[in-house]
Amino acid sequence: MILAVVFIILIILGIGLPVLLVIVPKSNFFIKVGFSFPIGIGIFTLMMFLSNLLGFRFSLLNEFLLFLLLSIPLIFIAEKRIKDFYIDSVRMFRHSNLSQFELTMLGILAFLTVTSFVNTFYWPVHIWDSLVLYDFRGHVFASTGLMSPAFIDGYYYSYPLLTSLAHTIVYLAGGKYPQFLYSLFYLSLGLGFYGLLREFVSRKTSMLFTTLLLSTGLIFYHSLLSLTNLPYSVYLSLGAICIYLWDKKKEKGYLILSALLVGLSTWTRSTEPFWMAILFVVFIVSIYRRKIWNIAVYSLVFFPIREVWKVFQNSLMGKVASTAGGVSYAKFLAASFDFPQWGQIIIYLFKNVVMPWGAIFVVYILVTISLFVLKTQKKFFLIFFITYALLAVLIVGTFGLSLIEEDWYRIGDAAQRLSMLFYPLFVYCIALVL
Amino acid sequence: MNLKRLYQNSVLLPVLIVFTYFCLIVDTVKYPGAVENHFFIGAPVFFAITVTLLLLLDTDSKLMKLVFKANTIFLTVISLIYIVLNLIEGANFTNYILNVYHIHLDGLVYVVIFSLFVFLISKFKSSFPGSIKGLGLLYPAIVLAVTFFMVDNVPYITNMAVSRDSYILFHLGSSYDDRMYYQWGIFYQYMIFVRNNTPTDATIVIPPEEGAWLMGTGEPNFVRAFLYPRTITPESINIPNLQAFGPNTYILIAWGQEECNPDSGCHGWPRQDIKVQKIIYKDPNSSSVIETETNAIYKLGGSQYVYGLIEL
Repeated sequence: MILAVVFIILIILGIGLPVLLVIVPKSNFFIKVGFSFPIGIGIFTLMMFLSNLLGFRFSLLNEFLLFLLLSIPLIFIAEKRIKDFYIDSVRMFRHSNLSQFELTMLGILAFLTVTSFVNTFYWPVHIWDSLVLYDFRGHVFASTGLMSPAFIDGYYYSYPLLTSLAHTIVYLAGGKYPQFLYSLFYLSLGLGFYGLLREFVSRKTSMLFTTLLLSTGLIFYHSLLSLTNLPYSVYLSLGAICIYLWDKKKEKGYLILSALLVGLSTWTRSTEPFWMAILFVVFIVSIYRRKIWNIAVYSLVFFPIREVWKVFQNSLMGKVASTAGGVSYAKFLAASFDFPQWGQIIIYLFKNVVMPWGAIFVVYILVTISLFVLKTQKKFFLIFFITYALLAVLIVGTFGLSLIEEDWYRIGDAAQRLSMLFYPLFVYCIALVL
Repeated sequence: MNLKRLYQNSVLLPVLIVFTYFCLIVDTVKYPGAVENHFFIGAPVFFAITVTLLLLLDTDSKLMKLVFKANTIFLTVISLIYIVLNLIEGANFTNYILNVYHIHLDGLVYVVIFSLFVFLISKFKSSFPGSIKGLGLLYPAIVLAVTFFMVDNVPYITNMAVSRDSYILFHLGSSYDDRMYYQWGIFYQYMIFVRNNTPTDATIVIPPEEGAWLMGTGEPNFVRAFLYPRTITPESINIPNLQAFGPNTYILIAWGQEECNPDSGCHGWPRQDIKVQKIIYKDPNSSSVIETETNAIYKLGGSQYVYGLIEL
């Protein structure tokens, strides 16, 4: 197990961190450290997948060589920045005089994170979806060195491979308990969210709202399980917030980082169309700011990541890629005027998404109102726009699902898990306004 | 006497704190939700309202200082009690505390968290603004909703964290199989039994994905997760052509876990007589073999727990 943990740390330090140092060199310590794991593991698993397609079997030696192949050039490119990062980090910790309030928040956050790690290092993979799909594929990849034996039927390639390949790394390194990866996603969410908030608000406020986010029941619960919902939420929500930073800080690095994160979200779960909302916002902002080429920059990073899996999946299914997933535009358009259907969807979303969100959604609505009450808060408009665009995709996406799936209303639990990605966005909006 | 003095000398907040404690303790001793069932408003609602008022109203009175001091002592005591009770539960079994002491730990955690919130407010009240210029009544509404959200989540995750940590503390030495058995019970034992008694290149014939076998032995993906690389072949209730199976084929003898309605006698598979090379029966209490029959005829037993393997 130790070797597995060491390998993951190497991926964080050798791939994730240098990538962050190259893309967003001016960002704060917490963004760099917090995003290192999601970026590192995302890129590495994608490369594992591609190398396997090229004929390199999954083995510890092959993965280590792949790691060296990726990390050596990256470290070489970011050498100076790594040194500066180290010096700045030491200086920051030396001069961080935390108040009693901040220490208390830190204590709560440490308790939650340590508990998450204790649990995930203790329990084997046991949740149904993971046992039969995500972890199963990881096991087969590690034991056979190949992908094809795991793709027994369509069910086994219905989801992309990020988490399965991350499990493969653990199994190849002799580990038995890969669930600690999800605690790392939880920790990354906390650090990354704190870092993104810290760019605009005080240390105290950032800590308070990071505590609020990490103490959300659904997020904490998912940090103990090996499902794809938490990683997906981390990639998509943090990627969405990066768009806000890109516009406010006028740094293209955040746009590239967002494209990477949102791209990797589709490498975690490919069926949900939330990436469209982010692409739409990038499009609108680029036009509004009269910098159209930003759409190309974003697309150049995002689409290759998304298409790698889509093309592979379609090659296995023997079909042509289709985003609509089997719904014709004519059918979609005709059904758009089916008002009783819309009523059903609204009731379904209210029961399975809004109610489980609870009071945080009420707060979000209240702070949206405050956006119109206080003129000084107009500057936060973009982050609210991003969140509402994602909410629109949730509604339209559910409508689309209702056209494809006859029993769509029976999977309320899945909708609840999926809507977890809104928590970071709600809390971020609230923290900025307050 | 002006209004501020009148408020400062009133006992509104101390009474509210004591009342909230009372409601939360009733929920702990009776059952979570008891207050709501009898008085329509749940104890967590009083919890949220009290915390919001503590955050927004002036707490700078002698009586409140006394209440805060008493709360600090209470927090220490109640936290210790909560942790010790969780440790006792962790050392024994789930719901041990409820069975023996009739205390709901998922209710007690609310008392602990309420006490903690009151303590944190007494320490850090100055860190929270009492109002935001221009927001008017919107600000108290936001604070109340955020508090509701925290009351919804913080006790839940605290209880989850403490109870899980307590269990782990007393079961550090358990093996991988012990942990999986804890999660999946006899189903996991059965899968271990099948794994131990079949070669890795075997074909395993499983019952249909319906009735008593719907979510367990009849679910091919689920069974495959435990028995890979063996080939999993689902069959119908009555296996139509037994001769079609090649060598190295094994048929599960699966009683089935799910309840079947309306036919309660649907348990037990296969349901037909089969002439077999070997029947291996599983010990109901472990993953070991309890009995083996060779060159026998398999017949569906009566209303009894039977799990095993047929080697054709």
